[in-house]
Amino acid sequence: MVSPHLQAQAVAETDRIESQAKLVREARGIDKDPVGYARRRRILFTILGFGVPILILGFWQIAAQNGWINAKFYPSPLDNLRQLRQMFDKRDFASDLGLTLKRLAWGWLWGSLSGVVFAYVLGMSRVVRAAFEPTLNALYTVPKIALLTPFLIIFGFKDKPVIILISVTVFFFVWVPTQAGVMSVSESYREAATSFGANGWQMFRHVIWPATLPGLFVTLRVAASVSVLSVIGIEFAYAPRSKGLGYVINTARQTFEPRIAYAGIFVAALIGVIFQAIVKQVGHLVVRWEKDDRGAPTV
Amino acid sequence: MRKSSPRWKALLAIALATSLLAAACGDDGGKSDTASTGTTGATAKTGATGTGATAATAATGTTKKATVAGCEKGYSDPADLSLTRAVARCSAGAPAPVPLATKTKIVIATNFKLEFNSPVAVANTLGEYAKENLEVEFVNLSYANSIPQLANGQVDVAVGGFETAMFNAGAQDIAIKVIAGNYFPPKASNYTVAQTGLWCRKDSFTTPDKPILKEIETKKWATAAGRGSSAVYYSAAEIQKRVPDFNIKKVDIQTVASTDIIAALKNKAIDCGILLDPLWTQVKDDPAFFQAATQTPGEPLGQMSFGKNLLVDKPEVGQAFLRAYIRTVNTYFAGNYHQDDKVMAEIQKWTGATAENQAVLKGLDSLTFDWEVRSGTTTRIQQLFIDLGVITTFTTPVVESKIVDRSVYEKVLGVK
Repeated sequence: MVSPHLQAQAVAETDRIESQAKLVREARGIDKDPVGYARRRRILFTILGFGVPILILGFWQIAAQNGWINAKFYPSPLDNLRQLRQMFDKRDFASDLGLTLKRLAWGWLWGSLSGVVFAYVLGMSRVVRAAFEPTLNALYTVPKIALLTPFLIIFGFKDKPVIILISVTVFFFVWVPTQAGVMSVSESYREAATSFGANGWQMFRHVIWPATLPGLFVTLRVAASVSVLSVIGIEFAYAPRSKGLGYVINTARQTFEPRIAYAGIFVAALIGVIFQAIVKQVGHLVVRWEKDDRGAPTV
Repeated sequence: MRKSSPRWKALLAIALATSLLAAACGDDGGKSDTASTGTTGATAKTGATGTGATAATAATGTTKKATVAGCEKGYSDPADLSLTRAVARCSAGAPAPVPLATKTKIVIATNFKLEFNSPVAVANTLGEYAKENLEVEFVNLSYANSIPQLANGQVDVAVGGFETAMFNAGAQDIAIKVIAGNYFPPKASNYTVAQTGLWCRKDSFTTPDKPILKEIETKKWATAAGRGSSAVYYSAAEIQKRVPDFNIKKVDIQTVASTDIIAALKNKAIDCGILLDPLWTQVKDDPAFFQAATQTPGEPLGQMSFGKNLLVDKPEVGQAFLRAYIRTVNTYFAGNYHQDDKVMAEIQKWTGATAENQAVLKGLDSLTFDWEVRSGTTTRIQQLFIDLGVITTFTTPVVESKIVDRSVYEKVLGVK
């Protein structure tokens, strides 16, 4: 017979252990009001997204105005914006911009398309991979800008060599990660599809393609940035008709017009941001089952 | 309200006309440089050293002379643009070194390692800087990129052309000044002698056997430095001598790397291209090409600039540097130095030229090094660049005194 004292002790000990094991926490905002919480987070992220660059630009403005930095060499952001307006008004900057965007769009498109095609074909076929991968790997390491001269001579002093050079650069940035994505699709998915009697096309359509699509859009975003870098860099070295954003920046640099150079750099950055945002948004629309970068489903 | 009388209007008109006339006739040189070229229209503004010998401006008859021993002929009137001008020279070894009290290091920026700037390097290897108690460091930096460093004192000397960056810096009152010129080809403007300049494909003209030069304004040109290069200036000036209504604004000027221009010409991607030494030797004997323009005669189109350090803070160091440079020119580069094996070996060390290219160079005329800066060169080049839309930040050329400072070489040579 257990004494009442011991019984009480045992009960107390059990309660203590149970109370220790129980996870108790206050309900947080996301628990109480998930919709409101999501809205507040969106606002916070938007403020942070705009706030940080505004803060940097604000500091730059103050530094230039107060002479902490030499405004002749590092003009203030407001001066650069004024300069940008003048460039649109007086320097036919719109046509420079238009040409750069055209070269950029075609270069990105052809580079991405060819990169995707090669990635899926090489990723799904060992034979093709064995045939092409060593050559492509060798070409991957060639500095693409070094190909400008032969391309100019082969394709003429027009837009074509510039677009091809951007495409070649973008191609490798798309091909390598996308092929890796294709090859890393889980074997269990493939086996399941095979057991259902899927042929090559069905395997691609129902297994490989959806499994790699989220990664592909991340790659295409990287390719968007790479194509902006490429077009500006190539136009530094050669700009058909002496027109283009890179040409404007480089000429401004060579002629010591820092305001024009910074205005051009600002536009280049903006193109990069917008282009990436467009690709990202298209990705959200296409890959609707994938969570966005805040962890929320895109739908 | 009182109306102005016709007499007042007439007086006003006379005053205005007189001032315009005075401006048009104004001297372009020295301190009286008003930045007005006194010419009208884009095509008329590109004349370099006048338009040919007949139009060359006569000397202003300055009485200034170099007084330093051995340099009695070391100074010429900057306003003397005549083709017969004797280039300033001292005897070998002059001006004599005046060593600084303490060993001083200077930084020289240049992104060229070519013959035209080799005296800057040869002065180092042959010990001319050491005689001034100077130590030099070369940094590979373009002139435009050197401007902030010159202004901040991280670079002391920059080598470049008379280029847009320099004019824009002058317009912004940045403490940088051209203190010396560099060279001109001895046979510039002589079209019987093949040389560096603008070369064209004959088949791009309607009559390839005898190309009509006027057609050149509708052609596609290529230069390594683009529209804002002094090559465009001298090409325009030289063509205009033969085609007075030539309009450079009509020319499609492409930027193509110097070494790619030959390939572009041969592939018919361009019609004309600026071919530097020794690239033009590849086409000089090819009947498919002809030389359309040389550099303007007697007018250096390259320069060396000082920044704040040597202009303001340590002018004696700047003078020591320039003294060593001028002495190097007088000692090693005064005559036909292409036949001087010692000098050529030093040049080869600097340029890294192959034995083959060095042999080609030996067969060419030696350059005429000229440390002086001709009056009005900066104004004429600026005007062309403004007309071409290369300079956009101002519409009237910046006055020469804001860009050029001849006082450094004048002090070195004791000009009085």
